[in-house]
Amino acid sequence: MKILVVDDERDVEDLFRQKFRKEIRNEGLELVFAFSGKEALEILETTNPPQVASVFSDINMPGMSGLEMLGIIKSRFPQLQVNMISAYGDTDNYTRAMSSGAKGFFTKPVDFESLRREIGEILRS
Amino acid sequence: MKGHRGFQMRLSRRVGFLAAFFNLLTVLVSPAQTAEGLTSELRKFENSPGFESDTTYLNKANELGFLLAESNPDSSLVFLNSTILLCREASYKKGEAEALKIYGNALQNTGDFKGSIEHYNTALAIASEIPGEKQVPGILNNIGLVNYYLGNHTQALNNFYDAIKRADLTNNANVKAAAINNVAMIYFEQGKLTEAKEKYRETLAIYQAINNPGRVILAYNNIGDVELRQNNPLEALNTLKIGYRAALELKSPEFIEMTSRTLADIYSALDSLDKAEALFRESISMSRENGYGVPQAHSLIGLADLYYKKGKLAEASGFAKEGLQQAESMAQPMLIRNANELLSRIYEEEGNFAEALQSFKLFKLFNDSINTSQAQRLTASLEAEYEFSKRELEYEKASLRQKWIIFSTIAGLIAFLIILFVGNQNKNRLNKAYHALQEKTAEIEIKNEKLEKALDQLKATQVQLIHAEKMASLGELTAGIAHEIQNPLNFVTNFSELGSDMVQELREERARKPEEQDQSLQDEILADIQVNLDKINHHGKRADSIVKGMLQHSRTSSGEKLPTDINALANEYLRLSFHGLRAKDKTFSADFHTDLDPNLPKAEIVAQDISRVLINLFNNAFYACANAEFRKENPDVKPMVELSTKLVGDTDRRQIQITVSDNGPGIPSAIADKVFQPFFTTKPSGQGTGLGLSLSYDIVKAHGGELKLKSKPGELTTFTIFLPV
Ligand SMILES: [Mg+2]
Repeated sequence: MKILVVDDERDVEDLFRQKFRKEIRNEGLELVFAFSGKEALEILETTNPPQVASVFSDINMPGMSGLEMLGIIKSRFPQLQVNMISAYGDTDNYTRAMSSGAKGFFTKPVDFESLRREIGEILRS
Repeated sequence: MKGHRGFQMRLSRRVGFLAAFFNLLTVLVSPAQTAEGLTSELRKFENSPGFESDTTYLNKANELGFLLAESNPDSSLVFLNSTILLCREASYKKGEAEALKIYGNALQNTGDFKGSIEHYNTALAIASEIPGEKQVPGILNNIGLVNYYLGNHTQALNNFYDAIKRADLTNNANVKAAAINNVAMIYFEQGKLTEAKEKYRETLAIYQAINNPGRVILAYNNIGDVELRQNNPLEALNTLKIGYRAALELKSPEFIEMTSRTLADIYSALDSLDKAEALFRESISMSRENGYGVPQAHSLIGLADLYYKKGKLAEASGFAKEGLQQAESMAQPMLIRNANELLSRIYEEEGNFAEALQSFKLFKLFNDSINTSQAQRLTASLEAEYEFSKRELEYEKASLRQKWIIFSTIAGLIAFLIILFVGNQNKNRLNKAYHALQEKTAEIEIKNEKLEKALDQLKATQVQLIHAEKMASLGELTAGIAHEIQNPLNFVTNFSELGSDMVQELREERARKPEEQDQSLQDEILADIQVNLDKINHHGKRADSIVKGMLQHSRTSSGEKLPTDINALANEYLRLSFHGLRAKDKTFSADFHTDLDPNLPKAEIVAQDISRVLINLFNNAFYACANAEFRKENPDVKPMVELSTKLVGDTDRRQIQITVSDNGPGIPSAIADKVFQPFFTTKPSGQGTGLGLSLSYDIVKAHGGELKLKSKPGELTTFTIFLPV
């Protein structure tokens, strides 16, 4: 089960790999990382439908923002689940994300317990 | 357009008046005679011995010299020079001063202003030696006129002022009025119409008092002209009717022509086209008869304008061309300009676009050169004005004081005789005069105080603005700073949580029986803990440097230059700027790219100051390529800001080059040199102080560096900072 994580902060990769060490080792979770919206779209487009089961993306990134990327993903792959993660938990970002078709909305610093539950559901489905 | 054109026309005619005025002035001193008449009179004198030292002969020679200086200035010089020498040999000072003045006048007519002033000054020196100094005010007035032509308005106004004062002392009402007239003319040119009118009224009063009908007409004509320019054509009409009637009574072709021309302008402004036409035609035929070249050109163009208004293009075209030719032969730039402007409109309506363009080009050419020289003259005269009004007030003060002394003396002498009858009348008058003086003085003081206050306020505002600019750029930073601190803090939180999870895991592992323990897992966990601690440390430092940077930015500059890593500084502020804008505007979207030279040496800079420059450049760059309007118009452009650093220059003079580029609309070359000027901004009002780039420029200069702008409109804008190593 492949999950794509998008964030312009590279240390996010280390953080996720360590947080989900058990899931990776024991439950067949595979994490893929992209450091910009553009890179994420390239990864998704290598196969159609994408090999990725779900996307977790930062909003605030240079170049294409997470919300822009969300719009593009939803127009190309309407079935793909996308969750947004933002340092700004304001209602503006939240409503924009949800009305553009995001599945969930997490604020930074990420509460990894709720994130683990979400990923657990994906793994079981 | 019409109004402006009219103003220029009137202005040009004013110069015409001035010349007429100046010439008349001397003619009036002696009865007007023809050159032939004077020549034959001189011949008669030359038959008797010793005629060279006869003052009557020398006076006649000067009269002839004056006429020649006007009619044929170039060839008059030889004759004038011989008169000067004759007067000198005869030790006839008054004649010599007069001859030198006429020589100056002739040089002035040939356009040799420098030589003209030299001769006037010599004449002035001699005239000052003669008891009574009767010639002095007139010479001063002439010097003032030359200075006026040269654009030295301060000097000119001072000369006129001196002329008025000396004329007062020598009871020379004609020269006094002439100098006041010249002051009025400068007010007129400055657009101070109320003041100009007031001065012309003063001249009118003087001429009425000394009963000089010609000059009274001139004054009416000038007053009406001002009123017309004040957009008061009805008032002007009343004034000019008086002047015109007086001119007809006087039967003077010169004044009839002048007043009918002004009347025609007034009727034209009132749209009484038939009356205007009749008057223009009168002016033209009189000018033709008497050889008034400039008035003829003026009225021909005025007549052409009337026909244009009536829609009679063929006639309009004919008169305009004739007027243009006349204006060209008289070398009158304003009239040439006006004629070309009118012609281009006529051609355009006739459908003759090639000719219309040709005329319009000529119009532009003359218009530009007139505007340039007018602007220069205006600046000069504004500077002069303060000086002049100061002196004028001083003079008023002095003359009041003088009156006071005279009054006191008289009062003292006759007080004993009439004190019972007159009582306090005189004293009251004196008191009034004295109070008026005091009020004037108080007024000046208040004005001075106001000026000083205004200056202080201006200085305070400047300081405030600089502070505001600093705070504005800090305000723009805050959101970026919050985001940039939030991210490392999140990592500190996450990695430290992970660390304690791992410590827990390690404890559980070590709680097992020794034979069940997985040694390699323990090693792995320990290694991860080490990595996490390093990450916590790294992100802690990252937040620390941002907070330090922010504090530094808001603190007053210590001005101390310290070796600084330019790459780190620039990179940090690029991110701050980006995140600041992103946080402020959710729809903001742009990308940035860096190309930093890893071998850059440290630079000795005031980091806080240079950071202000950088934040300014980054904010501007992002604003340029990512503002909503530009993006809407250019949906295909992906907004991109690029930062690069490089070491450039020779080994003995190495420089760090920092470039900040954006792919926004670019800066048109027309405003490229303005962007570093204070208060220049293209942002909507209230969105920029207009000080950012100007301060940036100053900061970079203060570091011995350079800030340069290069832009290709439609492609990119690049600001480059050069800093010495
Ligand atoms: Mg981010």
